[in-house]
Amino acid sequence: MKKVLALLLVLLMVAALAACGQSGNNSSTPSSKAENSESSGEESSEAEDSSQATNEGNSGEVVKITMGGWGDFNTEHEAGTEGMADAIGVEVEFQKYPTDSAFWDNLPAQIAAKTAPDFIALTNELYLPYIKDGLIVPIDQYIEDGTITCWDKVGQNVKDIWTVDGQIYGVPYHQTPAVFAVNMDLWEEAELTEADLPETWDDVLDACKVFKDKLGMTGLCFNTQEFHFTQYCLSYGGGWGLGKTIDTPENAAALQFVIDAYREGYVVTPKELGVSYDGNVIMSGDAAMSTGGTWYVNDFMRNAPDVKVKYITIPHAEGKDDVSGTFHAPCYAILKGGSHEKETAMAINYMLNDKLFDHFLDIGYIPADPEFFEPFKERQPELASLVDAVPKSNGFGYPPAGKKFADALIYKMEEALFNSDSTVTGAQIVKELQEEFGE
Amino acid sequence: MTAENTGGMKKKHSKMRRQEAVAGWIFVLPAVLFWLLWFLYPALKAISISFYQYNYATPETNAFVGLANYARLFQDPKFFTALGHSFLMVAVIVPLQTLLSFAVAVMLNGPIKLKGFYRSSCYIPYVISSMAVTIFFMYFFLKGGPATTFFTLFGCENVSWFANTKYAMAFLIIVYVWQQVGFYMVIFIGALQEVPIELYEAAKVDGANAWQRLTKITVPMIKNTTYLVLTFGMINAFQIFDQIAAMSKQSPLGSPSGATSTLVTFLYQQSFSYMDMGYGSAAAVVLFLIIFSLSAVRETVGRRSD
Repeated sequence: MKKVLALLLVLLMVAALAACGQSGNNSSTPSSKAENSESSGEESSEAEDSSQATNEGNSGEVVKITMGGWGDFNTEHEAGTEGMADAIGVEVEFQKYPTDSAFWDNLPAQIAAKTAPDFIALTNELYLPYIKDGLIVPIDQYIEDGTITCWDKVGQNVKDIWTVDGQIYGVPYHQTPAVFAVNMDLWEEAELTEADLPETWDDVLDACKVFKDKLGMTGLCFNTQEFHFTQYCLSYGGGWGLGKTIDTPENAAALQFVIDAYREGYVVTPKELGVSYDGNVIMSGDAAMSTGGTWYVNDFMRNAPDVKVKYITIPHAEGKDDVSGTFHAPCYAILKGGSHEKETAMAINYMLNDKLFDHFLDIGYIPADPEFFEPFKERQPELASLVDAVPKSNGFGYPPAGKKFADALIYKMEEALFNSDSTVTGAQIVKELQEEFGE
Repeated sequence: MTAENTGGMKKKHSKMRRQEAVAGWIFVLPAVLFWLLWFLYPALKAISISFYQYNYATPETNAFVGLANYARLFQDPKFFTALGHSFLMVAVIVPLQTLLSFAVAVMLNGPIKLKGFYRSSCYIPYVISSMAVTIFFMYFFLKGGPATTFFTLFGCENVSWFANTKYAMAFLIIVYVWQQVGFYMVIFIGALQEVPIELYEAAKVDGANAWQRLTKITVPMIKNTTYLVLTFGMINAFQIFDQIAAMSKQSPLGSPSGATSTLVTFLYQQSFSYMDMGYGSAAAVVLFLIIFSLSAVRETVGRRSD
């Protein structure tokens, strides 16, 4: 009896193991691919076969490739993929990550495991280490052989961003300067008018005093993220200069402005309110002004349509009229290790079409093609001034250490802001950063 | 019984034992294979990687660097900050959660009404997602929040605790202990129920009061369980991650300003955020050695006291 029982259990175990194996195989079937983002590697090999078939003209099968990104990137880019399968035999599936940090933390492991997306929406922020480590494929050959022709459409300033050491690493699709968002409901409640909208940081400080005196609230929201620090530094005439110009009086003055304003009680940070996004602070009315981006337009439209917001260019330091903040120039970049590099290049070339640019006009992004500048002004009159800010804006210019630098900057500023006993100054911060990350 | 019969019986027994052993191995084989594949192999791989400059996305650039990662580690002030925080957390959390869970277990093991309800209530936090618990607590500890206001009565500042370099660690410890107490309470209740009731009755007859019964009977009788709780508590406290990640949100792990950085967040950042897998693995090996050494010390102390 025992023998029979043991045999039965062994058989059951073998059957269970076989079932597990079967289930593993099933995960690579096309129907489950869309649901299981981890299976894109297997998906790639399947699609590779079909790609070869398509290229040989033996079959009408479509090559499936994946695009990775975070936030609303899938809805933002869908317009560019319309009709792609029929036109070039390639279909793009979106692989969405919950946050940018989840994206960057997972990507290297996915590349190693060959489950990474074929291409990604890469911003011009902390991108240098990924290029330096060889995770991004240069696309020069595809431009030379005519696979990517859309490169000619984009403006020179964004071309410069994505040309690193003489090689091209991505095709930029929009170039949108940062904005300074003002909650006009609160602005009017504080009896301020449109004429009072700030042009300089001193104007911002004056408005903060009004908010504190009249409404007993903090006027300015400051998110302790590298993006926001950089707006202040650039608009003071500074900037990181890829690590060459960290320790400058302009950068020191910009950081000191933030520290002083915070210590005076004019600034609130999203972190203290238990949120991570500055837009939430403006929506909730915990502050009236914040540095941000045109993603606010779409976001406020969906989540806080009743809040009246005015978007203006980033204020500048006194006497620095010719400078502004950053501009975002994200691009489509091909990841190392994909099985369909050529098809991915074809897809990227296809996606940079007028439908995509037209969609960008709707959601507040200035297309990378300068021909769309005027249509943008017409479609988004409240953001029209941003087009004029493009030449004054700059790339982020973070040092090659990228995220390490950003984290160090955040830590040091958090020490200055979130420790009431701290005597750390802006000058000390930029000096230490220069020593650690200077080029 | 003849010698032949005895020999036959022995043979039969030995055959049965062999069969049982084979059956036993078959039953544990999946677990052993799983352990080898998912625990032992990664652990050995991590040790091996710690001797390399290692980036798994660009294996062609990997190079053997010997003990360089360890040398770098012991010159890195951020590593020592993280190490200090890990030890501080273990030093505070382990005694605190052990005492609290023991006290709750003793109370809920007594003759009280709605015992099941109270036990479940204490255990529920343990099964809730750590992220959810942390975010929930963050609203209590906001500037002007109920918990923050309460603590101002004891001289604390009215600031958002989780965003303040002076209070972030205390916040983390409160959240963690609150969540873990229920789990260790269940373990203690199990142990308390094993203590023979006759011992208490005899002690009562001898005139021992409640405190004496607790310290002279209960504590010694559940000593092994207490050791288990201390060991588990220490290992888990060294590995806290979820709560820190929830507190940090979009900021770097260990935010604000590294006030909640630990060995685990340090190794995670190095390995995944900065793609310096060799350096991160060296930190992981150090963490392993610390946990292993402390567990060994605890085991030795436990044996000696036995």
